[in-house]
Parts: sequence; C-alpha cells; structure tokens
Amino acid sequence: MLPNLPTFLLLAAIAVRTLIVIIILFIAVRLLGRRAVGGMNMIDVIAILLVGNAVQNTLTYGSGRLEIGLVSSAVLILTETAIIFLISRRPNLEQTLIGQPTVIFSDGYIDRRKMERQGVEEEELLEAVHSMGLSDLSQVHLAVLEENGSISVIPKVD
Amino acid sequence: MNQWLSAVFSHPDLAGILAIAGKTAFIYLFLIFGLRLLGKRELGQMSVYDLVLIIVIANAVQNAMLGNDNTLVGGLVAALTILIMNRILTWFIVRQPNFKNFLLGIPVLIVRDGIMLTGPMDRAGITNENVLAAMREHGISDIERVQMAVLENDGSISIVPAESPVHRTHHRFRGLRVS
Repeated sequence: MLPNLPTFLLLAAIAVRTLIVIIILFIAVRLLGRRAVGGMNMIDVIAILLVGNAVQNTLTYGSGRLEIGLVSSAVLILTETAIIFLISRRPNLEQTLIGQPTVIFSDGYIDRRKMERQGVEEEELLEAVHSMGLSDLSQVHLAVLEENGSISVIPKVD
Repeated sequence: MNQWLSAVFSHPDLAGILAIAGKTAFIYLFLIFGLRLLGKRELGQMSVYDLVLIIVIANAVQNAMLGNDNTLVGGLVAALTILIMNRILTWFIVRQPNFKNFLLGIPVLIVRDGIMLTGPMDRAGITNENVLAAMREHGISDIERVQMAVLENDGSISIVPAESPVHRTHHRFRGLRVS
C-alpha cells in the first residue's frame, strides 16, 4: 500500500528509505560478511539474491510505478558513486570500510588465527597455491588475503 | 511532516518482525538444502540455466519472506536475518569439515601424472575439453606435462605442471607444517 502523500513527498520518502537501506546493508555486510569473496560459494550466492529481494518492497513500497523505481535506483547508484569517490580521496577510509590485506602464510608459518577470523579455510589457501602451479606450501614465500577476497601467492625463489 | 516521517520509518509490530525473521530463515535453509539435493554444489559448474533457476526462485519466495509487508524495518529484518544465517553457516563450514563437504563438496583430482581420471571426471561432469582449456590457460599444450589437475570447490580447474618440484608429504595437511 502506497502511503497517501503528494508525489514529491512520496519520492522523497523513497529516496530516504533507499539511502537508509543501502547504508545499513553496507555496514552489515562489512561486519557480517565473509571477506573472502573470491571463495564465494553456493550459500553466499543464494544469500545475496535473497537479500536483494528481501529489501525490494522496502525500497519501493511494493509499487511498480516507474518514477518510484527510477528514484530508488538513482539513489543506489549515486550512493555507490559517492562511496567510491570518498574512498579514492581518503585511502584511510578504505581500510576502515573495506579492510586491508592480511598476510596468512609467511615462510613456513601459517597464521591460523588470522585465517579463522577472516573465514578462510586451509583448502582455499591450497587452491590458491595450486592455481599458481605450485604443489604445496613449502614452495610458497608469502600468501596474502587481498581486500577483494582473493589470495595472492608469492613463490619462493630458489 | 509527521505523516511523512511515519511513512519513511514504518515498522511492523513485534509479532510481524518475528514472523518475517522466522520465515526468511526457513526459506534460506530450504533453498540451500533443496539445491544441495539437486546436486548443485560447485559454483563454477553452474550453467546459465542454473543461475536463472536460482534468480527465479529468489523472486518466487519474496512474498513468502515478507508477506504484504513493505515497511522499512520489515525489509531490514529479512535482509539481516539472511546475512546472519550466512555468517553462522560459514562459521560451521570453517570449523566442521564434514559439514563443509556435505554442503559444498570436496576438491577432486582429475589428472594424475599425465593421465586423465575418467571416473571422477564423469561424476563431476568435466569433459576432456574443460581440462584442455584449463591447461591452455596455464600455457601447457601436452597432457604429459601435467603432474596434477584438481577440480576445486569453486569449480575452477587448477593445474600443477610436471616440472614443478614436488615435496612429498604423508598427508595433505602435513604439508602445511613446513620447517
């Protein structure tokens, strides 16, 4: 049911709601989300699609009116752009908002505590090692969990 | 103004919030186990049709999660429920290898010392062409030069070339404790 408001106020309400939802989702994903997006699996894909649908009615009041959809998606795009702009201006902000690279393996020492905190499994580390064409960790100098969730592997130089 | 504020910051009553959270959690688990029963585990093996199926299902269950609710708090409760459930499941996956294997599958060896293992390949739905494509990505044209190819959990195929030095270990994870 659309609230009984004049069009201008209705669209303003949609814009404010969209902004609130995207900011709360951004924070929630930052706090709850597994950072290893590179290791995204089935349950993550289902979660993402369901979250998108879960907030749909909130963004639009379940209404199919064109102007409502346009305002809502415009606010989403502008928020994203603003966040990217802020991050590019202030690198420190990026560390707080997105996180920083973590060294999870270094010359024979595997940092299980860090891996557990980031939700990275040993198998994922081995996958990254294999995809570098190395057969096991004894050939690895350094493994770093990057901000985008992928694991970079730097081989030992013999 | 008051009317506008209550239109923006609308919320269901407590019973409504609990109903949304409960239904959402149930639907999320239902989808995970339902797709697991269909045998859809490895993301990389998902075809476009599988993805379409999942997107359609997500739309199909939308009203079941929220009912006719279109309040601000209602949608946020549903979204947070899903994210928290995802976090809990991930927590279990990291700590319980059996649960992980059940839900997401395990890496499968498909080439050993230049020989394609057709049994595991057939079971995982990997064709010769898939393996050859992965080899070409690694700049290898001859299967003789593949020491090991593994179908990883995310569906990608990783290749270990024959010329890379091998450090034998008794068990896969023993390899992690390197002096």
